[in-house]
Amino acid sequence: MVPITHFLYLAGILFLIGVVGVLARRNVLIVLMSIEIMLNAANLVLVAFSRAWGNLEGQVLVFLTIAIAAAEAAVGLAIVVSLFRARTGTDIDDLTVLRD
Amino acid sequence: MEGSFSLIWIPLFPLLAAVINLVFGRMFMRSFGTRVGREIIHLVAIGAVAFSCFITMSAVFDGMIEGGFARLVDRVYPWIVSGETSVAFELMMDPLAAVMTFIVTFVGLLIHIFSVGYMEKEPAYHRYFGYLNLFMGSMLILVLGKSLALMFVGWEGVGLCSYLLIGFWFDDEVKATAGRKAFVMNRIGDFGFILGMLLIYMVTKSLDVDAIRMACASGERSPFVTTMVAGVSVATVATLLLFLGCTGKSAQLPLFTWLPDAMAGPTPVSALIHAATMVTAGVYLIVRLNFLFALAPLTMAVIALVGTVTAVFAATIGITQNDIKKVLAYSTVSQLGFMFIAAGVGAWVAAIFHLMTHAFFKACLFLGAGSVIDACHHEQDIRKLGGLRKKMPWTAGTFFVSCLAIAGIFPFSGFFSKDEILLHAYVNESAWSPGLSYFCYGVGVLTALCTAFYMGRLYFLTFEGKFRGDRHTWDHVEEQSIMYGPLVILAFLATVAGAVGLPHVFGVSHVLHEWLRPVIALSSAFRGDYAIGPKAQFVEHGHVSTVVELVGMAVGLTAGIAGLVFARMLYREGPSALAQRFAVRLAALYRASLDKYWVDEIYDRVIVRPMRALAHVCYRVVDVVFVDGAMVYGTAGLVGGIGNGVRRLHNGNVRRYLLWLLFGVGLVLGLVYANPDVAQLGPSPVHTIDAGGLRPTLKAPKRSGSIAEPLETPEGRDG
Repeated sequence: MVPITHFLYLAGILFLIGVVGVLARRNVLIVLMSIEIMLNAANLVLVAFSRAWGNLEGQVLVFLTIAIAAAEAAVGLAIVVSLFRARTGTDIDDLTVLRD
Repeated sequence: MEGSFSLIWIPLFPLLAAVINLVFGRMFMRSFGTRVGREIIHLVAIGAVAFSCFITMSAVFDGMIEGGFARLVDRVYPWIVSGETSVAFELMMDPLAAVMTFIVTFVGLLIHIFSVGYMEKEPAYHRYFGYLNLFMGSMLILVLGKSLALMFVGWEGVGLCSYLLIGFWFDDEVKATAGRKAFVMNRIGDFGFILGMLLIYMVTKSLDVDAIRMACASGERSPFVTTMVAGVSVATVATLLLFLGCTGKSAQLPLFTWLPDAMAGPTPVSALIHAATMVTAGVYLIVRLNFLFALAPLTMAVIALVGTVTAVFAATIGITQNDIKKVLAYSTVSQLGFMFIAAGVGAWVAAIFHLMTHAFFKACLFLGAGSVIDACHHEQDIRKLGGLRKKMPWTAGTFFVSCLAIAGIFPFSGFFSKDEILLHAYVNESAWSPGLSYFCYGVGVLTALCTAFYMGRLYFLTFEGKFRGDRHTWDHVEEQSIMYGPLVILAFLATVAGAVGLPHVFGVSHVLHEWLRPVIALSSAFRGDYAIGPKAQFVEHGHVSTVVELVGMAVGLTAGIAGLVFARMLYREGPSALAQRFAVRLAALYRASLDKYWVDEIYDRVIVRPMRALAHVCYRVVDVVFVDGAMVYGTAGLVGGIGNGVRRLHNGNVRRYLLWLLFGVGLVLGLVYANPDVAQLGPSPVHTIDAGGLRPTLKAPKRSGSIAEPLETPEGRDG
């Protein structure tokens, strides 16, 4: 049986990939995808612990997360589309409306 | 021997009237028309004072018992109660307070009535009567207060009213400044009063006059004498400090310069506050605490000395002044000096006697001056007056009577009171101050001569000879009956008031002395009515021997008559050539007197200007640089600077925020890794306790949910 630490390492690596993606990439679409990767890293941890402790609650939570992630992706992509239309570009460094 | 009586109404009536007039007075004048409004205002004011005068008299009759006076005490309410300290709001009318209350309410009443005529064209009528009533209330609290703390309330209250009324016409810069000067000089004295009060409290743990009397009762063994402050007895230090307060309030050297300036106020105010009542508060305070002062021979010598020097100092200034009110002001300072001579030689009764006669004749003189000023278009320069007797017979007559009284002419009141003071000054020689009695007496007689001279000069220049002003003014001169009415009453009192203090030669008892006996009983027990010193041979059977008394009277009378005759010689027909020659021959003396010995100028150079400079430095350095610069702007600048620095982080870039977030998370994780205890919020130790089951269970139930105290339970760490 694969020990739980392996799952945790994998989830950690995925999460870090997501973080670096969010911080380093300038394309909004890529940022959005990186966020999805981080979410799935969390899902992986939930499922792994659920399995290890024989408790289904973790898996139930994962389903909920997936559903919310789908909705979030839909909203996020819609924002990206409207951003693209308004700004003719999806470079995240141009989006400093909060400061201005 | 103590009765109770609702004494509180005596000061309360004027205070209520003050509130009514100050709050609603303007409304009265607006809504009922100026004329009716004024009627209401002065009826309220005069009515209130008349009521307190009436209550005073009924209280005096109430307290009168066979052969004396039962003290009346009104315990109004416990005022300050804090731990062991308790100061009660108690009013007391003893024989001394009775005399003083009578003077204040009665003279006050007459002056209120006079004011109706004098202030008839004043737009701020309500303010004038409001302040005047406020003064009456404060003065009565000062007089009736049973504890020093309550007296101090009145003391400050009259000071405030004095300031308000001197600067009554405050749009005139000079008058506003005069008010301020009076206030500031009085503050210097008040500081002495407070310190003296605290010293007394230190010894007796109470400010009640009775408690102080009790503490004094053992004479030389009393705690006031045995407790030392810097090598001197508390009695001496405390009384010296209290006397500093008296020099401020009663305009003695060195704090007298405010009183002549106080003449900027309306003339009835000068009569009431700066002649008859408030300025005598210092004398009253000393006599009130006579048992304490009697224990401090050094202070007594100082008081006598200061009184003597002030008396002659002010009298010599009075000789050359040309403003009718200024002459009277310096005369007041000088007469107050006489009262302090009396207090300083332990002649308490003589001090109160002179206080009373002075209240009558000086109020009469001031009101007479007011009548003249009112009739002559506010002309106060006696060089431009003259001959007014023909147009103002009542004013001239009463003024003349009061002049005779103050000059000490037999049988007017001033003769008896001044004579009694001089006699005591001569006879009371204490071992402490050898030769002081000769100094006091000699200078006192000289002052009496000056007094008679300047009063004669004032009378002759104002009322005799020819009018030296312009024709138009002369045509309009007339006196009002509402003004000379009070004058007549005061002149009558100034004539006959001496009857309460006839000297022993007349073979009748000294009424005032008998009346005040309970007040001065204790200090009489310490030192006798006459200090038996080197001059014991002058005292026989507790009285000054007849020969000494007669000689004293003759000397006093001669001085008075000489002064008046001399004044008549020089000023009968206006300033004569002879008077001019004197001024030229004695130019230096004349100049010094006319310029009031440059005391104001000296104070200005020595005190006011250095203080101003210091204040300027404080302003430039402490206020601008330190408070404004470092504290106020500094704080704002610091916060602004931090904000400016931190603002750079807030650049609107979400990914940068995220980076900081990550940095923060990393920091927390790092800390937790380095120090695992920080993260030990721990699972419930209850579980562990249940599992162990062997621990003493006394404290166990309290440990449930021990999130707040995880570090104290070893079990918490394991979980």
